Amino acid sequence: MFHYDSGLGVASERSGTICLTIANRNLPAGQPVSLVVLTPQQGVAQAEVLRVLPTGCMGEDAAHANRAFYELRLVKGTLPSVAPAIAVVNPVQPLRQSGNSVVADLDGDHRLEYFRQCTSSEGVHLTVWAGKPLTGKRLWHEYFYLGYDVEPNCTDKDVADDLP
Amino acid sequence: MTPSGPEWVKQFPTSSSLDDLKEPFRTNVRNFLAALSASGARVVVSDTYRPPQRVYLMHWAFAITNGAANPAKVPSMDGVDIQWVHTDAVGNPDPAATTAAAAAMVKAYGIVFAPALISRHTEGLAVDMTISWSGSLTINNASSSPVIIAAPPANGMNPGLHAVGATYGVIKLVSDPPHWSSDGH
Repeated sequence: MFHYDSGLGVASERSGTICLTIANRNLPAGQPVSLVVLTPQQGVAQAEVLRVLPTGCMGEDAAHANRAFYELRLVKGTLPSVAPAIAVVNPVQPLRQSGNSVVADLDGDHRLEYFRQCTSSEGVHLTVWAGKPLTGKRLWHEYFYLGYDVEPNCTDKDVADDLP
Repeated sequence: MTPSGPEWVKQFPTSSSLDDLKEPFRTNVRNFLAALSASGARVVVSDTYRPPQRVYLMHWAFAITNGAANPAKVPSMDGVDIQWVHTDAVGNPDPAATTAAAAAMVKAYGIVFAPALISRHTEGLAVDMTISWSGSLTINNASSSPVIIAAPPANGMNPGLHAVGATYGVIKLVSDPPHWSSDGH
């Protein structure tokens, strides 16, 4: 059974360390983690959990939302520096490339999930959708703070509050 | 002029000080933060003022690196004596060195997406901060009337807190969780 909240997180490389932020405190060392790389085009990299981190790479603490932080080790592929990637733990079906997109049946419902990123004023909204982004149902949403201003291109569907 | 390159990145740093905000927004933020502190909320301020010079350097370094700007035609900026076009030993433009120097700046800044040139941060009219609390929050609005915020989330994305912030003239930009400004942009 795949749980979106605990099975998806955000990974990014900073100063040579790949950090994973995820609402899951139970990942052991060696746990495989698939990374959906979204910049400059979608692709998949493979990593594994190296160790638990006390805080995130950008100094976030774990006081809220059951967040945990891990250092990852890249096993296969590349992760562009600083750019956020969507981390996937234990999907029902493996991720695969479909044209310019990465897709997977994450939850085993025989429908493909898609991945998307867009920018707001100073961050990146990362989303997973059942079906095509913006037309299907949004299943997961996270925000990645950039710390500088960018041109926004997100839609209301990207940034709307998470629905129950 | 100083040639472009990663040594520029140390100049014009982003501020996390409320002192660098413009009035009356500075006082509005101080009053809002005082109310948050009195209510027991935890607040961590990250960015306040982003110098336009820094944003200029980030914007044009990224544009040159990605072929979106002609380095010879980048507009100048007062106080930023940078030479975008590098030259070879005989003084001719060296496109490879020019792009490499800009790319080194992009890497040092940690830029992934095209930086915007103007924002409320460059105007001293925005603050990024992480706000959180436990349980329900009782906080005074700008009229000193207590407001009870019991519904989740217990953080800066709470609509009840946005309404309280607005009474102080500190307006939430909902699309960016840490960002508050003078007008919500």
